[in-house]
Amino acid sequence: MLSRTFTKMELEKMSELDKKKYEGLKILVIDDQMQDVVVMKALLESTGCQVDVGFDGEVAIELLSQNQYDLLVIDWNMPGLDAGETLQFAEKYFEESRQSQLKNIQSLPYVVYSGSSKDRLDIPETNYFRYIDLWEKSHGLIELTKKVTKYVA
Amino acid sequence: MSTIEVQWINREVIETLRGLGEKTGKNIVGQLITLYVDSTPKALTDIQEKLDQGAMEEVAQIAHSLKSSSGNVGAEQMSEISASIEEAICDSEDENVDVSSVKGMVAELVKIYEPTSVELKSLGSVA
Repeated sequence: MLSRTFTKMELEKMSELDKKKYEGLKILVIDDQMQDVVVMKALLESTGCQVDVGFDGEVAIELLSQNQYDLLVIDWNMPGLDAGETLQFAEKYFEESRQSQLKNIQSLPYVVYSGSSKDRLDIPETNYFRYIDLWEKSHGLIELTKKVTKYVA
Repeated sequence: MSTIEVQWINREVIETLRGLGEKTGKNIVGQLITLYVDSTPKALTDIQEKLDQGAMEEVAQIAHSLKSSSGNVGAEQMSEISASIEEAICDSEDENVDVSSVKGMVAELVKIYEPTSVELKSLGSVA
């Protein structure tokens, strides 16, 4: 499967979130860490977003196939399918599926919510999913709140 | 005579969580503290076991989770030591991991968890 490696600095420059407001939008949060899900869900809900959650890549694919979302926030390192694999498998599943509602998820923007200490991430080349930002867990809750509310509030 | 009280929890994080709780109508602080004190003792037992077994990749994974979960409740020393454990393992080739240094950091984690959890619980009980 194709992917391209970006440094975190390059990913920051690619951020498109300042061009959009996400208030009232439906967001899917995927993370295997319960506490991270609680924090992210609360952060997004506090800005008026509607939030669904899942704890692994397989659930992500299921929810994405059943519902329409405006934004996907996905943890990078997860047991089983990691984020890159989840996006690639989801895309393959959608391409093979003939269900009409799946067309609506075309070009779904996604945020990588990462606790990775690595400096580089392999962003998969996908048609349905479009990388828009990196939110780093290591920056702590205060910084994360500032970053999320800057765009979503 | 004055005493210097060590703080294990960043109060600004707790206040941020309280603010989120007020906005969403949920007890986010209580929920996160409960999750943390319920899961951390097992994580600390597991990390010591994996260390004894020499399973350094698993030690790094547990440290990775502890880094994040501790950070979420403002337990910054716990989070920083966990990050150092993860880095010490992930930044080294298998045979070059400084095991004695990792052991020291894991022992420190176990040691500071108790005062950290006591302080956290006291903050969680404040309305």
